[in-house]
Amino acid sequence: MSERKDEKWLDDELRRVVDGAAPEFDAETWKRKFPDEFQALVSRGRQDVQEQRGGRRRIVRLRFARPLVGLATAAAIVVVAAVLFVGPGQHEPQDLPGGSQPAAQSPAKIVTMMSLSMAFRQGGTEALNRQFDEALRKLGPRPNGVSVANLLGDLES
Amino acid sequence: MRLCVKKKILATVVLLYLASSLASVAQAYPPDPDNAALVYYQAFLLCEQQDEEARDALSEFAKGERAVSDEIREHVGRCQAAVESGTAAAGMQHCNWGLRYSQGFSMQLPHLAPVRLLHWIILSDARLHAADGDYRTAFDRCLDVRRMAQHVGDDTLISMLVAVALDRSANARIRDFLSDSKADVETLQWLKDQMADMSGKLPSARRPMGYEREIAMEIMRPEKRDQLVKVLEGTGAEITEEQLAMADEDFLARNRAYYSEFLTELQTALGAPGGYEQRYRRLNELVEQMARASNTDTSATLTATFAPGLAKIYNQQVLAEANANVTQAAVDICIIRATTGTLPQKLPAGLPKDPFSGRDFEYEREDNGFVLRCRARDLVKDTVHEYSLPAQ
Repeated sequence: MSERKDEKWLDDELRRVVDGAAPEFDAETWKRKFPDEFQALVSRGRQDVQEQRGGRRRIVRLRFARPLVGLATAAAIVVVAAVLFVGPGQHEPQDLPGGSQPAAQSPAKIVTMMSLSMAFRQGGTEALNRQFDEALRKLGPRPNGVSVANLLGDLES
Repeated sequence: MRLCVKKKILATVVLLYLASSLASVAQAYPPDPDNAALVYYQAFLLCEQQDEEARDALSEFAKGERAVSDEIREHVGRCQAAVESGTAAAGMQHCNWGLRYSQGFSMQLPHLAPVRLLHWIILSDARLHAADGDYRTAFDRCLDVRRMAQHVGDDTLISMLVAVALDRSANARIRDFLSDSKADVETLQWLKDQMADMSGKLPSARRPMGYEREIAMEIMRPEKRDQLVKVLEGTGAEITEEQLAMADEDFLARNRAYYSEFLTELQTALGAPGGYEQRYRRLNELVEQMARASNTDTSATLTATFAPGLAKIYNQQVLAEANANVTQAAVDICIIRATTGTLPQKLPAGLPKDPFSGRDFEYEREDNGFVLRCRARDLVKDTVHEYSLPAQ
């Protein structure tokens, strides 16, 4: 598939979607017209599921994905269509409940340089020691008793 | 003659073979890490998970406030892997905790709380060895904690405060064991040599002050305004829109200049000739002046927030020095007692001095031991420290 042919194909599809009175994406026609791209998309979907299970596979696949111009073009069509389908405003990412910031403060905040310095300034070594005790209570030490047998057991289960 | 040459050749070949065999054994696995921090982190992971009650019991035992019990023995026994890793780390030369200075005041110091726990465990182990009559190992554990204190070091003022607290704690246990009067002359002499090697290596406030200055100056730049607001909010400060609007380029420039000048004055006072009292009073005076200025002069606003409580920090440093010096002096006195069977009539010459007064410690013999006393007041605690070493 040449680059020029790609562009024409893409232009036609875009024109059909954008100029239409009601935005529509005829998946069945597109599937019949471009069976190779359809197969590529389907297999990509399967690969995505696998990627979620293993980060290493993702890196390798992304490197090889770059030259697949046809696949990228097909993906672009789907994205454009999807944007037009959902309509303005609806595609904006929804805020998570409680805003984009995590609702709870990280317990690790109590061991920052500023937090520890303030504790000392306000209450001297006693206050600093109390804060360290609190840090031990909240952050560590880590659970012990993890033997090699336990680890292997976890891996097998 | 020919036979002799043959023998020499044969011997050389055998030696070369042995040397190459040993080298290949040595190269069979990678070397241990040369960064003590990595081994300390392993020790932290090997510390037994404890509830608050168990932790309190351990720290009280380590401080000598609780008697030996089966429960403590069992608990310390379960922490032996941590003790082994911790003491191995303490014996290493180089220690880099991997602190992320680029995070400025948000930099996390997660190693400090576990370091305190590890030092309690190691000092508890030391007490158990002393209780069993193994003073050499007991002293060695205390020296390991002192080495650990040097590793905690003076990367930041907070690290330095933890380091001097650890060092004081270890010195207090050494004095406890000296009081038992059961250590032999050879062990005491060994202890004296070890302590002489550590002399003068206590963390001081001067180096971390330089780092803190850089960190604070960096955050007072206009491009770091958001970070500054976050740090200020982290201190519990409520920042209004009005105040935010006020924190313009000019405000930050004035604050940077004020902070820089103030820190220079603090550093000068810290390094100025003179004794403890003079330095402490000057540091306090500077802090009070700045606090008063911050009420009326907005150039001092950020300095009032970020400037370290240096007078108190300096006091902790001097107190740790007093503890180290008095312990060294006590070891010398105990060597005399172990050699002659009696305590010296007066303080031997040439012993480390009381840093509060700059003079020799006051020495007093008692019926059941001796006391070493500072000759000037600790101006924060308003007390004269004295260190009693009763014979058990």
